[in-house]
Amino acid sequence: MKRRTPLLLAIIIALPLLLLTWFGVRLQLDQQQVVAHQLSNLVTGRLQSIDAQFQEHFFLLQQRFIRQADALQQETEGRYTVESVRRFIDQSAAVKQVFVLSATGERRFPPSDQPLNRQEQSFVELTRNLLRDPERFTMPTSDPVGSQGAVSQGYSGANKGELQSARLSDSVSQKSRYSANDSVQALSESAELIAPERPHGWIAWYAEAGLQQIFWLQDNDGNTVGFALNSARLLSDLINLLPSSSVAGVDTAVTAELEMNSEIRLVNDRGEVAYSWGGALVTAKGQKPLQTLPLSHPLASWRLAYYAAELPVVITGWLGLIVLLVLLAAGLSTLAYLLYREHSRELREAEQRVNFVNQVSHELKTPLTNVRLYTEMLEQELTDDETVAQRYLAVIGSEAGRLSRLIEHVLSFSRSKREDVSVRYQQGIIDNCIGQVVELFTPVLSARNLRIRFTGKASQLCHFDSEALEQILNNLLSNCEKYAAEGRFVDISSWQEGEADRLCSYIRVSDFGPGVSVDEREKLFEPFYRGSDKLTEGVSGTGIGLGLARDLARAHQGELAAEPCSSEVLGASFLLRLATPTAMLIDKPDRELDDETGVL
Amino acid sequence: MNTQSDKHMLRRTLRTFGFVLLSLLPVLAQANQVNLNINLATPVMEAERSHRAFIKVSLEGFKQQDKQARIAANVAIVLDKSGSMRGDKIQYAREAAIMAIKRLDERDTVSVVSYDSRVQVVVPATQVRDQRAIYNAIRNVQANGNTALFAGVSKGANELRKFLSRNKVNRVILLSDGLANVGPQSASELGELGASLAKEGISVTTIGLGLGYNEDLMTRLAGFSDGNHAFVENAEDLASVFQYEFGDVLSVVAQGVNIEIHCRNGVKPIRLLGRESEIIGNRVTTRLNQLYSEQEKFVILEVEVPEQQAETELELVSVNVHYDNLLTQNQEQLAGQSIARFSRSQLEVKAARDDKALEAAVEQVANEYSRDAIEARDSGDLKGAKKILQDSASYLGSQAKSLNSPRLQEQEEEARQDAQALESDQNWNKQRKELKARQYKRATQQAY
Repeated sequence: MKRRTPLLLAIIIALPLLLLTWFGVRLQLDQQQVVAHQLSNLVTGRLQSIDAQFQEHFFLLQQRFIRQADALQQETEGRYTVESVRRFIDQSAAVKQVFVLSATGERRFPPSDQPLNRQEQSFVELTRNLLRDPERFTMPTSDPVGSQGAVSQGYSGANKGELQSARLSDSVSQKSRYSANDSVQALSESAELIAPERPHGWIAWYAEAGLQQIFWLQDNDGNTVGFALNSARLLSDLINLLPSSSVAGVDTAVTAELEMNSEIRLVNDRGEVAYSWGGALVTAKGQKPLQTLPLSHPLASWRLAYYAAELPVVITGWLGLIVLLVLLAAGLSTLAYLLYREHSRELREAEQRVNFVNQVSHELKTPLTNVRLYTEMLEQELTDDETVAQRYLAVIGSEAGRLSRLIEHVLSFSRSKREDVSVRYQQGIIDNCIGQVVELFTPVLSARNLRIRFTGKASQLCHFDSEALEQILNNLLSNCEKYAAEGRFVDISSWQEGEADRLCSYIRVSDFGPGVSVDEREKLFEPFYRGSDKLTEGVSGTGIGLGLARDLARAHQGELAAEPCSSEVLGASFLLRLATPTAMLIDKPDRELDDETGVL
Repeated sequence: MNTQSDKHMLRRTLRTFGFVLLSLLPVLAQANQVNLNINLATPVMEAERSHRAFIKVSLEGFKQQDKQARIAANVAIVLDKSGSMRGDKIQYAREAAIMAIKRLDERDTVSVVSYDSRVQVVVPATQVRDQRAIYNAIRNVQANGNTALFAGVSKGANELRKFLSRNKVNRVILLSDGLANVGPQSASELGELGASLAKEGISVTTIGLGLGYNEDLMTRLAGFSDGNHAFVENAEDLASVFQYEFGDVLSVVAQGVNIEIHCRNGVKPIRLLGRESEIIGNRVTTRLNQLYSEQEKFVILEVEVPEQQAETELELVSVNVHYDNLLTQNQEQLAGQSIARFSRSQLEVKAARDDKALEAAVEQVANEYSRDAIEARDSGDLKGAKKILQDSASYLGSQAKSLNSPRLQEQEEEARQDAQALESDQNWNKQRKELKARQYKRATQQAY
C-alpha cells in the first residue's frame, strides 16, 4: 500500500504528460510540415518571380533588339555597312558585339574583307565554331515570357525600375538613329507585330569561361543579325533587378518577412556566387540551400539558391509545447505531492491509532488474565451453598472472558494487518465446536433475553481450524447480542456438502433484529465501519469484528457473507462457508496423532 | 571730293571695324569651345627616308566662365565597407565622402552605396537638399564582411541611372581597399562593365586604399570608362583625394568626346599612346568621357611616314572630334589636320622641332616602357623588367637633355628609382600600385 500510492501518483502525472507530449509532438511535426510546405511554396514562388523578372528583362532586350535590328536594316538599306554597325555597337551599352550572316551563311559583319579591330577579331575567334553552322539560327526557341502578368505584384516596383532603366537606356541612345522615340508600350506592340513574322531566338553558349548570350533575328532578306550581350553588363543589369540588402523601409512586407531570415544567391554557371542578398548572413560553408531554382533559358545553368538561417516559427512552436508540458508537469506534481502528503498523514494517523489500541490491549491482557485466573480459583474455593457469590463470580468470569475475546480481536486484527492470517488445521467435528461456542454464549445471551436455537447437521469428521471457527462465531454472536437483542431468538444451523473432491461446511447465523440494509451489506466487513447511527447508538464496538471474521473465513478458503433479506430471514443473516477437507486417517498418521491428543 | 573722301573714310573705318569684329569672333566663340590642337613633334622631316613621327592631338576644355554656371553633377559614391575597412579606414572614408558632398548643392544628385558581401543602398539617388540626412546615413556605415565590388558598382550605376542625363556629369566614385571576392572578380569582367557604362556616359573613378586592392582591376575599370584612378596609401589622404575628384567632377565642360584620326597619303598608324583605342586600317578612334575646365587632355599617335621628296608638304592625318558641350548643350565638332614638310636641311629639321609635343610624346613612350616593365616583372622576368626601366631611363635622359626638359628629367629619375626598387620583393605590391596609378595618371593626364 505504501509503495503503491507513489506509483499511482506517478502514473497520474505521467499519463497525461505522455499523452499531451505525444499529441503535442505530432501536432508540432504536422505544423512544421505545413509550415515547411508553405515556406517552400513561398520560396518557390519568390524564386520563380525572380526568374520571371529575368525573363522579362530578356524579353525587353529582345524587343529592343528587334526594333534596333529593324532600324539598322532600314538605315543601311539591308547592306549592314561596317560603319553603321560599328557605330551601333559603340552606342549600345548592353551589346558587346554584333554579327550579321547572309542568307547563304556568309559572314557580313564583322566584315571578312576589311581589317577588323581587336574586339571584332577576338569575337570572330570565339564564335568561329558557332557561326560555322548557321542552322543554329533557323530553329526558333521559345520566347522569354513577356511583360503581361508574369511577374508577381510584390515586385512591381522593381519592374518599374527595370522598365525605367530600359527607357533610360533608350533615352541615352536617343541620339543614335536606331532608336525610335516611342514609349515602352508602343515598343512592345511593335515588337509583337514583328516577332511572330520572323524567326528569332536566344542562344546561350560557353566562351571565355562563362555563359554568353546571343539574340539572333532573321530579317526580311534572310540575313541573320546576332547581338552578343556584354555578359558583365548583363549580370550588372540582373543585379540591379534584384533588391539590395537593406534599403531603409522600401521593401514590401511580404518580401521583408521572407528575406529577413534568409539569403538568396544568384549562382552562375561556374558555381560561383554572382550576387547575394537578404537579411541573414549564412556563414556556414557546408550549409545546403533550402531550395534551388535553375533559371530559364538563356540563363540556363545559372541558378538561384535560397538559404534560410533558421526556422524561427517552428522553434517557437516547440518552445510553446515544452513550456506547456513543463507547466503541466509542475502542476500535476504539486497536486500529486499534496495528495500524497494528505494521504500519508491519514495513514500515519490510522497506524498510530491502531498502535495505540494494540499497546493498550497488550497492557490489559496481563491484568485480565490474572482476573480470570483468580476468579476461577475463587470459584473452586467456594462451597456449593454460596449461590449468590457463585452467580456473581459467573458474571465476572463471563465478562472477563468477553473482555479477553475483545482484546484477542484487536490483537489478531492488528496481527492480520501485519501478516497474513494463518490457519492451523486440526481434526475435529464442526458441530462440536459450534456446541462449545453456543454453550459459552448461552449465559451472556440469556442475560439479554436471547435464546440460541442450534440445529447441527455437520457431524462429519474433517480438518478445520477450530480456533478460527470459534472466533468467527464469537464475532457473529456478539453482534447478535449487541444489535439484535429484541429478536428473542438466534438461529444457528450447520450443514456439510461434498463438492467435487472436497467437503464444504456451511454455518448460518441469523437473528430477528433490525437486519442489514442492502447498501450496508458489504460495508459491514470494512474495518472500523459501524452500522447506522440509529443502530449503534449506545452500543460499544470497535468495528473490526466482521472484517476479521471474513479475513479468517477467506484464509480458511471460505467466505463470510451477509445474506439478503427475504421472507424467511427477518433480521441479519450471515452465511459462513468453510472448506473443510475430510480427515484422511491413513494419509496423515502424524496429524492424526496430534489431532487426537488435541481432541482429548 | 570731300564727300568722296568721307565716303572713303567711312568705308575704310567700317571695313576696319568689320575686320576687327571678324577677327574677334573666333576669340569670343572660343570662350565656350573646346580647343583642338594638333602638333606634329617634327613638323619638318628629313626627306628621302621613312620616319616614325609622333602627333600630339590635344584638347583643352574652355574656362568655366562662372563658378555658379557649372554643370550639374550626378554622383554615386560606392564605399567598400568590408571587414578590412574596419577602424580608421572606414571613418576616414565616411568623413571624406561627407566633405566631398559638402561641395555639392541642389543642382546635383548624389547617391551612396556601400557593399560588403551584400550591397546596401545607403542613400538612394537624391538631390542634394537635405544634407544632414545624407551625412547621417553615411555615418551609419559600419565595416564588416566580404567584398562584392561588382555588385556595388552595378548598384551605384543603377542609382546614377535614375537621374542619368547627357547634360550632367555622371560618375561613380568607387573606393575599395580589398580584392573583389563576391561576384565577378577579374579585371577583364570589370573592364567590360566599365566599357558598357562608358557607352551610357557614366565614368567610374576608382580609388584604391591601402595595399590590398587589385590595381589591375581598378585601373581597368577606370580606364574603360575614362574615370580617374588614385592610389591612396594612408586613409588620412582620402579626404584630399575626394576633394580633387569632386573638383574634377565639378569642372567638367564637355563629355562624350570622340576623336577620329584618319591617316592620309600612305601614312600608317602604329599605335596610340596612353589610351584604349581602335585602329582599323588607317583609321584610329578613341574616346574621352569628359574634358575638364582648363585642362589639357591629349593622345599621342605614332605613325610611320613613307619617304618623300624634299621640299614637299604632305598631309599626314586629319582629325575629327565630336563632343557634347555641356554649357551650350549642343553636340559640337572640331576638325584639324597635320601637315609635314620635308627638307634636306638638318638645321631646318631641328629648328622646326616642336619641343612641347615631343616632350609629351617621350613621356608617353616612357610610360609604355613602364607598363612593359610591370608585365615583365609579373611574368617573373625581373632582369628584363629592370632592363626595360633602365632603357627607359636612359631614353628619358637623352631626350631630356636634347629638349632641355626638367619634366623628363624628373621622369628619368623616377624610372631609375623604380628600376632599383624593383628588386625588393617586399615592396613590390606597393610599388606596383604606385606604378599603376602613376602610369594611369600620365596616360590620362589626370589632374591629381
